[in-house]
Amino acid sequence: MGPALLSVRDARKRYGEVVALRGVALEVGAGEALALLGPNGAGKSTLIRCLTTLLLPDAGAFEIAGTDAVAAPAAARRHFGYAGQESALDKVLTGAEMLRFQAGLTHLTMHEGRERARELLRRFGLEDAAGRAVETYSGGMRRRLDLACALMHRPRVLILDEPSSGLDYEARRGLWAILAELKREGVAILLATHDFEEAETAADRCVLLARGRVVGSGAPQDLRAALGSWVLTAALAEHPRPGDRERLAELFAALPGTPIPPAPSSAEFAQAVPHASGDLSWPEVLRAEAARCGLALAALGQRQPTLQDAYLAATGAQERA
Amino acid sequence: MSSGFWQETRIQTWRWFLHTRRRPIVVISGLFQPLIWMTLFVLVLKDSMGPVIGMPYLDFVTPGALLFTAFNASLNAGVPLLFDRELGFLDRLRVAPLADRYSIVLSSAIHIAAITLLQCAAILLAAFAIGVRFHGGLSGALTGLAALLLVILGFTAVSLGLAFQFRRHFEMIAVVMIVALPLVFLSSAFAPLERLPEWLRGLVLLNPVTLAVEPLRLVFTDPEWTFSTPLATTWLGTPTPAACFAGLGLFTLFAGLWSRRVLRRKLA
Repeated sequence: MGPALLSVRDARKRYGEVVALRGVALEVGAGEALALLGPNGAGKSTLIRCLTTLLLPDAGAFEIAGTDAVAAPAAARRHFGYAGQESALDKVLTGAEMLRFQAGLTHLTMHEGRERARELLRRFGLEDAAGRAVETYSGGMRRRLDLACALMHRPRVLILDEPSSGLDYEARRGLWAILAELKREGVAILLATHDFEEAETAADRCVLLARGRVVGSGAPQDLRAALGSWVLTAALAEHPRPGDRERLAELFAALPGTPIPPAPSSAEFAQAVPHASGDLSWPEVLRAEAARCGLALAALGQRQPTLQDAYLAATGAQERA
Repeated sequence: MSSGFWQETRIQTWRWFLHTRRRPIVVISGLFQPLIWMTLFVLVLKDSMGPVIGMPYLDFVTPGALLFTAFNASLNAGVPLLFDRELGFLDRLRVAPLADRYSIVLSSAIHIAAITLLQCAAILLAAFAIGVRFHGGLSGALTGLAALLLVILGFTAVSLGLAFQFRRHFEMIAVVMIVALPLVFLSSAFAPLERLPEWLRGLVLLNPVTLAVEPLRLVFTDPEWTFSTPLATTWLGTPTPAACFAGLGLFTLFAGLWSRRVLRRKLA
């Protein structure tokens, strides 16, 4: 990681009785992308709104390229580009006009603005659509234009809130390729996302947020590795007897490792486990135990841990706390 | 004011004019509304008003229609900003490295002033075509223009301030609808002060629309007008154009200060 271009320390924010941020800290270096993962209400958007000077925090230090974003918000705005959840574009304007507008807002001269707009239209594959009204653009084109606007003044920090929401797979891949290019140019990227593939592909590190707290952080591969060697999964057979679910839960609780909370309606149990120490694999151990209790299992297996497992384990533990 | 402030004001004003060029229906409807009112009032009131006002009703009502146009357009100036807020576009402005966020308000005011003056010019042309004549000379024209501009700036400031107070455009539209008609009809835009009950006359005189329409009508119809010409007799006294301008100036000043305070608070 290069020198930190974005740093947050002890960020706190409360909306009445609801505490949105409870001492969040993170850093993003030059040429690095950090994914902010967390369930709805975890505090991702609040953190991003504080960083982008849209919201005043109750406490904490927010620095962008060495500028205090709370004490000197106007100066901080010169250093970051921001694209929110919804593309904030004027649909009446054409793509080229939208960029000209952004150039004016960021005080580029007419000549600089024109050159930069041409460069961004080329880079984002929007040259052919430059003269068309934004309302005729597809979702992917709007996202790209929004990102182009955010980059108009060559910011050193790029802050994105769910950049790929509503995009098809091709458009998402295109977006990630652009983010990779920006990283190579030394831009520090902070992206809040719900998309694990996006976090794995586009981010070097992830910060897991739950109920306003950081509950995990690290490179995606490190987060997966820290969880365990395998994820053991099992599901009860159809029409389980009363008490079967509790018995299976007890069997899982007796295993080493970290439980992974199931989806609310799911009948599947999952737990991250270390390498099995004996001759039997974990599914074989569990099958034997289930047979001993007279439990009928419909599915039993093990797989490599995913980032989603790490996220569920960390945020689930926080929810239970 | 820095060059950055003027640059961002210019680019935002340019955006509003692009909107107007691509969606002209807003301007056209803003033009037809006062013309329709004017026609209706002339048809209904010209015979009954004639003896009271001592001039053709069309001459009397034309300044009222001009004021109505300026007032109506200005009072709705904040609605596009509310749409910007609802659609997230305002956040683009809020995170941009603007030299001064007052450029958001100023650009909107410049756009509304320009469009409204164009609408007023169209109404004047229509009135001229049907025989209405302006009698106030160049100084009268400039005085009338000043009255219109003060109304535009004052009510635009009120509207933009309101736009930052409300969260949804329909809330603001509802309030504007409630406020607009009483302000127009409790003024001397379409009927003379003399037709109102004595007790109401003084109150109506405090209405900024009346403060603007009275001097405007005077310069429109009286070649001998001066800033001290008495305009009406009310229990508040006998207003003159100078007093009306003082009142109107105060209203515009307070409206501007209030909107700036609201903007500072809401965009902090």
